[in-house]
Amino acid sequence: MFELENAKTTQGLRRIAIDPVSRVEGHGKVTLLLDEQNRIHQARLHIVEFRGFEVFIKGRPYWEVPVTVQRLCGICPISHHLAACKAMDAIIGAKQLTPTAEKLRHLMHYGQIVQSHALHFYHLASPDLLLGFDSEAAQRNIVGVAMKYPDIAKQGILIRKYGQEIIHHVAGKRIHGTGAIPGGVNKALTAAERDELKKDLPQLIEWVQGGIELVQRFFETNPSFFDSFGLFESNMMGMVREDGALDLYHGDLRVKDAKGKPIFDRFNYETYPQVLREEVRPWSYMKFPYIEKLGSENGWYKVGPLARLQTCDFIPSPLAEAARKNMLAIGNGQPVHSTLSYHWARIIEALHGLEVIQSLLDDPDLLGTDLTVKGERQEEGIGVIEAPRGVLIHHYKVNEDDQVTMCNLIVSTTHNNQAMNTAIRSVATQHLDRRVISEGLLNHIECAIRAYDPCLSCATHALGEMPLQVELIDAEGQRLSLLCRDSNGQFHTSDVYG
Amino acid sequence: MAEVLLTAWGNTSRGDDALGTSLLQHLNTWALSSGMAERFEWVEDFQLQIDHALNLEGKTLALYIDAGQNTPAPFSFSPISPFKQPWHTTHAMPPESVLAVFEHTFQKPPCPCFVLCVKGEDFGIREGFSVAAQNHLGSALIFAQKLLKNPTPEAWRALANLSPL
Repeated sequence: MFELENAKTTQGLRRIAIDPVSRVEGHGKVTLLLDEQNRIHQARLHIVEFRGFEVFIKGRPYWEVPVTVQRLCGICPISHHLAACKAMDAIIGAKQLTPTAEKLRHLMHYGQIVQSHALHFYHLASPDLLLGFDSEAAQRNIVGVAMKYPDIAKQGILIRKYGQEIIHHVAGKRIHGTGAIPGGVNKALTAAERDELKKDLPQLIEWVQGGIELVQRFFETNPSFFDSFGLFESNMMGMVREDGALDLYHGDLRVKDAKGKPIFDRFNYETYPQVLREEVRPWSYMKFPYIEKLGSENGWYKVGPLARLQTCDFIPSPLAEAARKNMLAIGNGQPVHSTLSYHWARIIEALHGLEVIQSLLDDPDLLGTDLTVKGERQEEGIGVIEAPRGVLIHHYKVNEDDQVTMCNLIVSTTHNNQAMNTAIRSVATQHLDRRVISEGLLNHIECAIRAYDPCLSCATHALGEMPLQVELIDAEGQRLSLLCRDSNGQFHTSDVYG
Repeated sequence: MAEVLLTAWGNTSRGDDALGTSLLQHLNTWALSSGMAERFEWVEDFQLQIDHALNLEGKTLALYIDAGQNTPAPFSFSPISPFKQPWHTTHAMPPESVLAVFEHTFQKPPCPCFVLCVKGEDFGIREGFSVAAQNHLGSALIFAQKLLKNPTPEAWRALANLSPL
C-alpha cells in the first residue's frame, strides 16, 4: 500500500497532530507517527467533519438544486451552481444551450476562476512567498502583506473584487444568485453592464502578469527549494475541449501518467461511474478516488491548476499560453510535479480567465435575449466542470415527481485527497529533523496542503474559533507535548519534549 | 453614496449560522418601510473576505453582523479595531482583519466599526433556526433598529455600554 500511510505497528511511536490546519477552507487535521530515532512511520491528512450535504439535497425539486448547492462553499459557490445546472440540463433534455446562455455561463464561470485564484494567490499563498516560509507566524498573512507590500495587497483585493462583480452582473447577486437555470440562464446582460466590466480589464491583466513574474522569480532565485518542496510524481486529470485545448467549463476528461503519457486521451465525463472508483479508508471521512483500471495504489491522480496546464495541449489565449510554456520549461521536457508549482499554475489560469472574459465581453452573442431551451425529460443527469481547485462532479437522479432521489458529488478536494497526503509525507520526510515540534515544520506541512487550496468544508465562522493545536502523544495515548496557536495568533507551549 | 455600512455573513444551510444574514434582511425590510434604507449600504455574503475592505472606503460608520457560538445570549454588541496581531484562519476573515487590511492597504484608519453578534445554538447542516436562536434574533432586531435610528459613533458607543454584554 501507500508508503507512510499505515505504520506496521504503533508500539513505541510518538504521535504528532496538527489540528486544525490553518488557512485552508474548513477543518483538517494532520497526524504524524514517529519512532525514537524520529523517523516517520505514518503521515495522514484527516478530514474531521462529515458534511452530509448529499442527504440534504435528496427530496428537493430538481430546479431548486442549482441554488441550494451554492451553500456548499463560501469560495466557489458558482462552480457548484454551474455543475448542478449542467446536470439539470441533462435532466430536462437541454442538449444544446443557446449561444447567449452558453457564453453567459462561461463569463460567470471565468469570473469565479479569477476571484477564487486571486483570493488564494494574494490572500493565502503570497504571505509565504513574499514574507518567507520561515518568517514570523504573526506576520505571515494578508495583513502582514498589506503592511509590507500595500500595492500588491491592493491589486489582489481589486482582482478578486472584479471576479465578484462579474458574478454579480451575470447571476444577479454575489451570493445565492440564480443566473443559471436548467436549460440556460434567466438574466440577459445589458450593454451598460458589459461596458462597465470592460473598463478595468487591461489594468487587471497587467497586474496578474506581474504576479506571474513574481512567482517565476521565486523559482529562479531558489530553484533547489521550490523545485523539491513536497515533490512527488503522480497521474494528472483535467478537462480538455475537442482540439485538446484547456477548457474549464466543458469538454472531455483527459488523464496522463506522471511522465506525461496518456492513460485516457479523453473520456466523456458522463461515463465517470465506469472509469473512477472511490475508496473509503477508516481514518478519514473524505474518500480516495482512483482510476479503476489501474487500481487504488496506482490509479490515484491530482487535479487542479498544475494538472490542468499539463493535461491540455495548449491554453487557448495567447498571454496565458506563453506563460504556460515558460512554466513548463523548468521541467526540461518532463512534467512539472513540484507542489509549489501549483501557485505558478494558478496565477497563469487567472490570466487565462481574464483573457477569456475580455474575449467574451467583445462577443455580440453575450447581449442576446434568447436564454433557454428544453428537450425530452430524463431521469439522470451528470454535470462536470473544472472548479478553481479541479474537477467537480455533480450526479443526480430525479423521479417523476421532480424530486431528487440520488445525489453524488465528487469535489475537487476529494480528487486531490491522495495527492495532499503524499505531499505532506514528502514534506515531513524532508523537513522534520528534530524531536521538538517546531512552528517551521507545521508551516511547511500547511504550505504543502495550502498549495492545493483545499476546500474542506464551509465551516461556520463563529468569532473566536480556529485555533491551531499540535499534540505529541506516545503510543499509549500519553500527551508529551502541546503547542497551541490561539485565535489571536499567539503561541503557548504547555510542555517541552526534548 | 451611503455613509453607513451594514455587513452580515453566514450560511443558510448551516442552521443558526444564518442569524446574521437573516437579521440584515429583517432590518432591510423594516428600513425600506421606514424610508431609511438608502442611508445605508447593505452587504450580505457567505464569509468576510479581503475585498470587503473596499466597502469601508468613504464610510463614517460600519456595523458587522454575525452569528456566534460562544456569544453571551441573546447577543453582544461592541466596538472593534484593526487587529494588530494578525489572524491565522481559513479563507474567511474576522472583521478585525478586514479593518486591518483596509488600514494598511489604503494607508488610513477605518471609520468607527462595531460588531453585533447574535448567539446561535445549532450550526449543523439544516435550514431554519433553533428555538433559542429565534428568540435571540428577535431581541437583536429590536436592538439593531435602535442603532439604525441613530447611526452615529457616539450613540453606538453609548449603546455598546448598555448592551447585554
